[in-house]
Parts: sequence; C-alpha cells; structure tokens
Amino acid sequence: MFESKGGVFFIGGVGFFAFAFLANVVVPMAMFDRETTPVLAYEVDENGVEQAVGLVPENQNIQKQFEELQRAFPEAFAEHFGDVSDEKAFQEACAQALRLGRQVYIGEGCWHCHSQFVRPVSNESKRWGSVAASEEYDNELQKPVLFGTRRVGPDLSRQGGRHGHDWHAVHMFKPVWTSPGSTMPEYPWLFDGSPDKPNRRGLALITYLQWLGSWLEEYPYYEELEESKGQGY
Amino acid sequence: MNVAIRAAQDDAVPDGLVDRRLVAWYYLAACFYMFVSMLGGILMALQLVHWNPLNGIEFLSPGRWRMVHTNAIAYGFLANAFLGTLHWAVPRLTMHKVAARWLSYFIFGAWQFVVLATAAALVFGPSFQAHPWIENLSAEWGLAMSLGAQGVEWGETPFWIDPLALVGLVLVAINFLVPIARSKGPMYVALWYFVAAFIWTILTYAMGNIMPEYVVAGTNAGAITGLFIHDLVGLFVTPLGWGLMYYFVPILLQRPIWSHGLSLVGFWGLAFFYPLQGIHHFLYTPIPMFLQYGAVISTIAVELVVATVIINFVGTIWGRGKEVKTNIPLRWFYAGMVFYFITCFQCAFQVTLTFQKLIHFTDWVVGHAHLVMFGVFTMWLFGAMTYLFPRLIGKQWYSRFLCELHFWFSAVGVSVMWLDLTFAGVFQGYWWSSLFPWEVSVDGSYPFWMVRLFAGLTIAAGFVCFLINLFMTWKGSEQGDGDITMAPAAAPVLA
Repeated sequence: MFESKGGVFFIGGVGFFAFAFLANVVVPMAMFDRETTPVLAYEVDENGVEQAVGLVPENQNIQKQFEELQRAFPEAFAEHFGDVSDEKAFQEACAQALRLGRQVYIGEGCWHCHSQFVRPVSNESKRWGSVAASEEYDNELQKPVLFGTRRVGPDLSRQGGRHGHDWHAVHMFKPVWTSPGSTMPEYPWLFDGSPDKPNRRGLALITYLQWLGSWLEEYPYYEELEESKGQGY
Repeated sequence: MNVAIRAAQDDAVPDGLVDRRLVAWYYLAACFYMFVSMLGGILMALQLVHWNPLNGIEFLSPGRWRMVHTNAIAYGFLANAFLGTLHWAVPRLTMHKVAARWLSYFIFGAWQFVVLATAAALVFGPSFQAHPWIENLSAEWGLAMSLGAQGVEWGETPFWIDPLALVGLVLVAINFLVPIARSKGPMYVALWYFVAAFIWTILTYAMGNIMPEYVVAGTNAGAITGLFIHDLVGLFVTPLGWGLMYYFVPILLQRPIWSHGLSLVGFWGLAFFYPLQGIHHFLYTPIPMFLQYGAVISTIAVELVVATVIINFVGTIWGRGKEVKTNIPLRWFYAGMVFYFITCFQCAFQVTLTFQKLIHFTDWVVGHAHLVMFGVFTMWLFGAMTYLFPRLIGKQWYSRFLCELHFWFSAVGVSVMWLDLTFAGVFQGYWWSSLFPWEVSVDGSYPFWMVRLFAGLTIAAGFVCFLINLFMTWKGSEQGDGDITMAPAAAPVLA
C-alpha cells in the first residue's frame, strides 16, 4: 500500500491533501460563515423601495473623504469621475474608486511592502490602533484578502484619515518629499504631470487608502508614541 | 537500486527513450527566466538602497518587477527546469517513453505562453486598469481583480491565464503518469515523490487561484492563501526536488540509498504533515488560534521528518564524502541538502509564536525564502543542469573553472544573503516593538540592504559564469578545453 502506485496517488496525493483541506480550509469556512459585504449594491425592501447597501452607503467616513477628495482636486476629480452631484451618482463613483483603488494597490505591488493586519503583540496596537478582528475582512475589497507578509513600510489597515489627500498625492508622486529616507518607489504615472493632478488611478488609490480603517470608531487613529519618544533616540 | 544505476546507463537505454532536445529546450527557457528574475531582484535591491537609476519609469516599477521576480522563479525557472529534468528522469526510471511526443512539445509551448503572458500582465496590466472596459470587469462581472496581478502571493498569475495553466498542469500529469502506469514492478522512491507531486500541484494551483478570488473573502481567504503559499513550495517544488535527489544521488555515487525504511518515513511524513501547515504564514491574524497552533505543531513535526531524510542521504554518501571535491553535480546536490537542513532547522524555531512575535514581516522571512528557493531547489537544479547539459548536447563542458565559479558564487552569495537578512530581521523586529518612529527601522536597515545587494550581485555573477560556459560549450568542440571531467577518477563517466 505504501509503495504502490495507487497508494501513493490516492492516499498520499489525494487523501492527505483532502485531509489538510478539511482542517485548514473547511473548518475556518464553517466557523466564519458570514456574508461578503459588497462595495455597493441595491436591494428592494418589503415596500418595493430600492435601497443602497454595502460599504459605501453604510460608511459615513468614506463618503466624507470622497467629498473632500472632490474639493481637494476639483478639476482632476471632475475630469476623471464626472458630475457626482446627485447621491446615487456620488455613491457609484465612490464605489468605482474603491474597487479601482484596490486594483491599483494590488497591481503596483503596494501589498508586498505594506501589510493590512494589526497583531496583538510587539506593541502593534499602540502604533496602529485596535488589533485586527475577523469581521473587518468580510467584504468584497478583501477578496482575495490583503493581509500581506512583509513590512518595508508600515501597516496600512488603519491608515485612513491619518494624512490628507494632498499628503498622499505628494507621497506617491515623490515619496522622499514627505518622508525623507523613504525607500518607496515613485509613482508619477498615477498623475497627469504634477502632484496636484492625480489621474483616475491616483484618485482611486487615495480613496482606497482613506477607506482603510474607516469602519472603526477610532478613525482616524493616531499612535501613542509621545511617551516613548526620546528614549534612546 | 542497482536497477536504477543500470537504467541510467546509456547501454541499457533504448534509442529515443529520452528526447534530449526537449530537455535542452526546457533548460534554456529556465535559464532565460532565471536571468529575468535576477534582473527583477537586483532592481528591487537597488531601490531599497536608493540607487535605482530607473525610479519613476512605469514599466520598470520595482513594485511590478518584484512580482516578476518571484513568478519568474516559480513558474519560469523552477517549473521549466523541473519539467526538463523529469523528461530525462521519468522515462529512464520507467523504461517507457512519455505519453506522447507532440504532447510534450505542446506543453512546452503552452507553458512558455503562460509564463510570458503572466510577465506581460504583471508589467503592463496595471497601466490599463482605468480603462472603462477593464474597470467594468469587476463591477459588472464580479471579477474582483483586473487584467493585472491577482492579490495572492505566488498566485499573481492573472485570472484569465489560470485556466490555461491548470490545463497545462493536467496535461503534464497525464504525460508522465502514463509511462509510470505502464511500468511493472515496485516503484522507485523518486517516482513516489513525482506521482504525488503531479496531483498535488494541480490541486494546490486550483485551490489558490480559485477560492480566495471567487469563493471566500476575509479571514477564510487568509487561511487558504497561507495554505497555497505553503503548498506551492511544499507540494510542488519540494517533492519534485527530493524525487530528483533520490534519482540522481544513487546514480552519481553508484550505490543504493542507505535505508529504504527511512525513505518510507520521509515520503509519508512529508505527505501527511506538509499540507497541514499553511496557516503558519499568518500567525496572530484573526484566524482561530487552535488552527494556528495546529499549523505550528505540524511544522515542527515535519522538521523531524526532514531530519530522517537528511540522515538517509548522509548515510548514502558515508565514507565517500570527499567526492564532493571533484564531482561538481554531487557537490551542488549535497550543498543544497545542507542548506535544506539549515532552512528546516531554522523553520522549527521561527514558526513558534515566540519567534513570530519578533520576526514576522521582517527581512528574516525574506532571507529564509531565498535560502530555500535558491539555496536548495535552484542549486539542485543547477546541479542537474551541470550533470545533464554535456549529455544533452554531446559535448564536455568548456571550462571546469567556470563550473566551479558558478558553484562558489552561488553558495557564498546565498549564504551571505541569508545571514545578512536574518540579522536584519532581528534588528527590524526590535526597532518596531520598541516603538521607534518607523523611519528608524528603514534607515537602520540600510547597511543590511547594501550587503544584500552585493550578495545578490555575487549570485548573479555566478549565473553569468554559467551562461558563458554554456555558450562556449555549445560553440566549442566536442572535447571541450582541458580537464573538465565531472565524475571522480575512480568511477567512469556515465552516459
């Protein structure tokens, strides 16, 4: 059995893989059998009225941020997201920006140097805020999940609101202008020539970054570094 | 095992059993992707020390090329080099040809398309993300990703290439399982590993490229992603690598594997414990703690299994260890095994929650990854190439000296890189937990990143020596230049 073709193929190849799949995949799936929240969707309630549900309609913080983005870059915003004066158009534009921003975040490889979860160890909750909880990740923008495995730069899961839109724009255009010594690459192709003119991808990425952590009460979170400052530095 | 030795000798091998030209093509493709991957790695290393002269050029962005770096290694170099070597080893172990010659060439072409299309999508894909038609894919069709990378590490292959890659992997399995099924009598240990690897690779690839993207989100997806990252190394690369060791080492030494019982322990221990460890990549995440503990325990268990395999191979060479001085392929193989033991020994510690607290997210992990992917599997495949190239093109190596340089630059380069990044990781971990401003950890890493850059350049220099040697051998005369015999004086050169 342990040296036969069938034994190797069915017990080792298929069987043990299936056992691990059961233990490492099916068990957590059964434990967290929750619905995935969409970014924006429409549901018809019992009175026949269409209602917007999802991350955007249920999150005041990200709506406020998206409004501010429009004020910060009025020309660029109008060019790339058009007229968003009525509420439906506004929410749809915000949903598009979140989806596209996340794709830019993946495509440009941001997630290879920035993680998106705060651990309960190593003083991380002092630096970044509350420890990551499972229900934070049950939404469309975590499909696939962007936990990350490396931090060259800081964790970003509570990044939203800590910096203004203009800071993010300058930071992505030329990182050392805002963060001297930063090893982050430059991303001028997210702009139409200068940091005050982000293009659609740039605006979307800023929206996505401002959304990170916006579902928490402590948004925006500022780290408790004051007391440790000056100790040995 | 005497049969294995005889099977390896040309006088026992019928004409046309092995398609040497195809093996050579696979090796050339593998070398091309290795070169590309090294360029990507060097670009990222330059970026980290502020020396990137190409900063701000969209198609040369280090973020995109970092993904080319890892994908070119996994699917370009490792997959091609393994497929080439399997086309040599499987027919010889079974004494049957692969299922079909046309299928082999079709797979070769299809796989190059898969790898090149992936690279193109990673480099150019993000530039078209804002195109309305492409943007609508996610909103209208529920496709959570664009034409570019997927957000799964090692699984960045875009969604539209995944089905083709899966078909390719199924065809690979059929092509090699047919001769194995046709062979009579007990299977060689090498074939246990190959048979299991064929089915594992298909299952792993399907799981990692379908479930976190379409089926589940959030924490569950994290568990699956961890399993995928892990299984890709553990169930695709590792069994193929060890299978090749069980094939090559007895041939090079012309003696059987020391203990068949330990071979059984090694294979079945790996098969059981390896797939259970995926979650150890995401310790301290919201994944339930009992699952994290389970992953940690099975990881430590597999290190014990690894120890039995290493003992088995030490037992096999016992008394003739000096032959690694003269026999370069044998030296590649045993150096790789030493690195493998170090990797796994390190892993038994770093997988614990105590170590993870400090070193997770740091360069320690990057060093570990380079030690296993380059120090072990790439070195084994370089050894196989060094052994087989002369047999594929019917010429002796042009220069033994260049073969030596290739080995020493690679071995020293990866050792320095591993040590350097391991120390860097410890420093980074303490800087972070001490709540220093973030830039302290970035500035402090600078000297480590500088050393890493030069370690990487050393590795690349070794590979360039190999390419030069290859070109000169191909161009040169049949006898090569000078004493380049790979086998020890006592044993005749095989094949």
